[in-house]
Order: sequence, then C-alpha cells, then structure tokens
Amino acid sequence: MFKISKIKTIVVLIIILLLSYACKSWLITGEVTTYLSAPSFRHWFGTDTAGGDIFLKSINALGIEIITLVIVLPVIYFLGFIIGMVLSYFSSEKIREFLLSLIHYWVTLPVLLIALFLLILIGAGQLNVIAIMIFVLIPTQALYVYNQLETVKKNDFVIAKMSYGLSKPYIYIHHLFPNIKKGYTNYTLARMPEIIMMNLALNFLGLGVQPPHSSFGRMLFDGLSFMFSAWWMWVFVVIILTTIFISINFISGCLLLGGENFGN
Amino acid sequence: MTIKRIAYRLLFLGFTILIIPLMPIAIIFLGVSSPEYVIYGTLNMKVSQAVSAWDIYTTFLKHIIMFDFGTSTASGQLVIKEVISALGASAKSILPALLISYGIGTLIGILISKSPAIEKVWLKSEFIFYVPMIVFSYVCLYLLDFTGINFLSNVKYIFTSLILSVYPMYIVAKSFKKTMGEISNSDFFSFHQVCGFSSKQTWKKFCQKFVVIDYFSFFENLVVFMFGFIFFVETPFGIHGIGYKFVFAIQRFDYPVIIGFCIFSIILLSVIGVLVETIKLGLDPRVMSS
Repeated sequence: MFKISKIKTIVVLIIILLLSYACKSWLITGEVTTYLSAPSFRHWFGTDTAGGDIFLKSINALGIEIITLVIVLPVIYFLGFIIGMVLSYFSSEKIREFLLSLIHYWVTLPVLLIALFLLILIGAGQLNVIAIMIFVLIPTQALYVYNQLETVKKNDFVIAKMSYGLSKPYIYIHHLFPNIKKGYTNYTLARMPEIIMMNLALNFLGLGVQPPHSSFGRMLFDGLSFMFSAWWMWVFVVIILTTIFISINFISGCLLLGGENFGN
Repeated sequence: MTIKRIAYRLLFLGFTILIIPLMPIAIIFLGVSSPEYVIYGTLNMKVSQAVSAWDIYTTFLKHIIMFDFGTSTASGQLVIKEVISALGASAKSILPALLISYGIGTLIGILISKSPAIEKVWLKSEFIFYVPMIVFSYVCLYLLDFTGINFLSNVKYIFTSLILSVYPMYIVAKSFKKTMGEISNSDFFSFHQVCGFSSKQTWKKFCQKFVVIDYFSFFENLVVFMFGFIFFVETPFGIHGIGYKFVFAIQRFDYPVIIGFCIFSIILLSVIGVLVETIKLGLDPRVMSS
C-alpha cells in the first residue's frame, strides 16, 4: 500500500505544479511588467531584473531539469549496457585489457572539465549539454555493467547453462542480464544527483539553456548580483534545489517501483 | 601488472594530449559547429584563410606541449601566468578542504562504525551531503552578512574550505566504514587473531595501512571534484581563483583563458592521477600479489 501511495504522491505533486503554473500564467496575463518586485499575491516568488516571474521561471527550469533526466538516464542506461556487454563478451584478453584500461583512465579524468571544453567548441545550448553529458557518463556505466557481468559469469549456473548447449548471446541476454538488471537500474538512478549537479554547473556558467528559457543554474547566477538587495531571486531556487536533492531517494524509489509494476 | 597499469595510464595521457587538438578540427569537419573564434583566439590563426587542418593540429599541439595558450583578451596577461596565479588562490581553499574531508570524514567513519545509534542518525541525515555546494555557498554568504561578519576578510577561506569538503567528507566516512567492515571480516584479520594478536593489535600493526591505501584510491576523485566545482564557492565568495576566473572568462568570451584553463587542468589532474596510482600500486600488497 505504501509503495502505491508513493507513486500517487508524485503524480499529485506534478498535477499541483502544472495547475499552479497554469493559474499563475493566467494571473499575470496582460499585467504591466514590474522589475525586481518582492513576493506578492500576483508574483508568488517575486520578479527578476527583466520583470520575469520567478515562480514561472522556476517551473520552467524544473521542466527542463526533468526533460534532461528523462533523456540522459535511459540513453546512458542502454548505451552503457551495450558497451559493457560487448566488453564482457570479448574473449580476446588483450583487446579487453586495452579497452578496460581506456575506460578506467576515462573514469579518472575530470569529466566536468572535458564537458566544458567540448561545450566551448560545440557551442552553448541545452541539447549540446545533454549530448555531452551522455558522452561523458557512458564509460562509468559500461564499467559497472562489465564488473557485474564478470562477477555473475563465475556462478555455477552459467557453466550449467553452457553445458546444456545454449549459445553465448542467449546466456548473456536471458540469464546474465536479468541477474544484474536490478543493481544496474539502481546504479543508474543513483546517478540522478550527479546529472542534476552537472546540469546545474553548466547552466551556471551560461553554457546550457539560453534565454528566454530559464534554468536553475542561470537563475542562481543572476541572483548572485542581488544577493542582499533582492533575496527572492535566489532563495526560492535554493529551496527548490534542496528539496529536489533531499527527495532524490524518494524519486528513485518511485521510478524503480514504476519499472517493477510495468514489468509485472 | 602494476607496471602495465601505469604504462597504460601514461599511454592514454599521451593520447589525450594528441587527441585534444583534434577535437576542434573534427568538430569543424563534421559540421557540428564552427569553433573558428576559439582557434583564432587561442592560436591566432584564421581558419577561413585556407589554413590546412594539419597546420591547425600541429600548431595547437605545439601550444599544448609548450603550455602556451596565448594572452588573455581581457587582461592582456599570459594565460599560463594567469592560470598559475589563480591556482595559488584556489589552493588556499582546496588544501584545507582536503584536510577537513579526510580528518572529519575519518572521525565520522569511526563513530558510525562503533555506535549503531550514531549510524542510525547518519543514515537518516545522509541526504544533507547530496545538497549541491552552491546552495551552501549562497546560504553561508547570506548568513555571514546577516550576522555582520565581514565575508571579504580571510574568514571566506574557512567557509569555502568547509563548503568544498561537505560531499568529500561523506565519501571518506562511507569508504572508511566499508573498509573497516571488509577488513574485519577478511581472512587476513582472522589469521592474525588466530596467531594470538588481539583485535586492537591486529588493527594497529597490520590493518591501518589498508585504510590509508584506500584513502589514496579516491584522493584523485576528490581533487577532481573540488577542482571541477570550485567555481560554485569562489564566484559567490569572490575569491580570485581558477573557478572565479573561469566563470568570468566565459562571461567575457575570453577563449584563450577558457581553453588554457581546461587543457591545463585536464593534463594536471591526469598527471596527479598517474602519480597517485603509482604510489598506491607500489604500497598495496593486495595489488602486488594479484
């Protein structure tokens, strides 16, 4: 019962957010722009230097954050799985060793700096941020899949299945992957804070979402100049961000449960 | 095995240096974007004036090897000088942060391994460590001003170090507990107890080094984390370190500084990684035996 109520809570929260977004948009339609106004009935979170409503901007930023997660998580999940599987499938020790060393090296590189370097070359934009995040996060995913597969491969049941005459790809897909699936899904979902943090960092630097859209990173950077004179420019963003990071375990729990129900 | 792993790392470090100048060329020829402005800013070469890809590559590579990233378009100073002076300012936050992370992290690790009650509290409050450091920076800055403390004085270094060490502290404590658990349940530990050593003696004489070796294994990750996200503390506190300069280089489209900072940091952190790996592999008898 508790598990079902978790999903319900998240659905109710999304509906509340969407309703308040619609309600808020309707409230401020046709209104004279007010710059840097403090929180009021009309502007729940106040307005920024351009007269933009902070509440609407926060919901917009939250949407972008969710879209980023929705794209990045499944892509790194599947690509990491395929690469890890291929690595483990290789029987040539030398090729495997080389590729593994390469992935180990990649994992120790400063991922954020590489992402920054590539973003400067490719150009700013949220799509580029998403593409680069996928590119830099895949190796660790692949390494996890490889390590897990290597552990499971040592089990007796694998030798038994091979003695039945089952093919290697069949064993990998039908017997090895189901064994690592839950752990791998957990691992991927546990990377949500990392993805949000990277997105926040890249947007703080102005390399992600471009105006008129908004992002938490950019809103925080804009709020810095008004740290003491217009506190509402950053306080609400900080509260939303803290709530997101605190509830990340709850969210991954819901997502995991959603997947299990879907499977059933 | 040990030498092979280090050799591979050195080989890949070489590859990284060779691949970095290929990236802008690949991006131009793949049509993803046209980073001519970056190449012009950093190498003073106009791509449109029939400069061959090979010329761009060799010039860029030469610049990387010589650590010559041109001059900053904003300050007119040599980029390498600017990066090194900024590193000095950042070190004032990073080095104490590393000490705090290891010190307090170990203390928390000891407490949670010894007392189940403290472990319970720890598990319930783990989420605090996930909160991004920028949130701590903003809140600290506001509270400092609210309480009338001059945050422009040297006090800022204490706070930046503390904020930088929040997540690393969590990593150290968690890893310490894991290592303690693994060693206490290992055959190595049981063997020494059978030999007549008490648990305390076994820890002191034989097991402490494993904790130190494990600390080495994520030292590099901690440095990379602090280096990567340092702009989250330096920008709000106004410390003119690498993070602050990097943020403002991006605002001013100062490409030589941006590219110089990125490449210099990637190489520096890779070298630190190789050094740490060498020390770790040299010290760890478990790796030697495997």
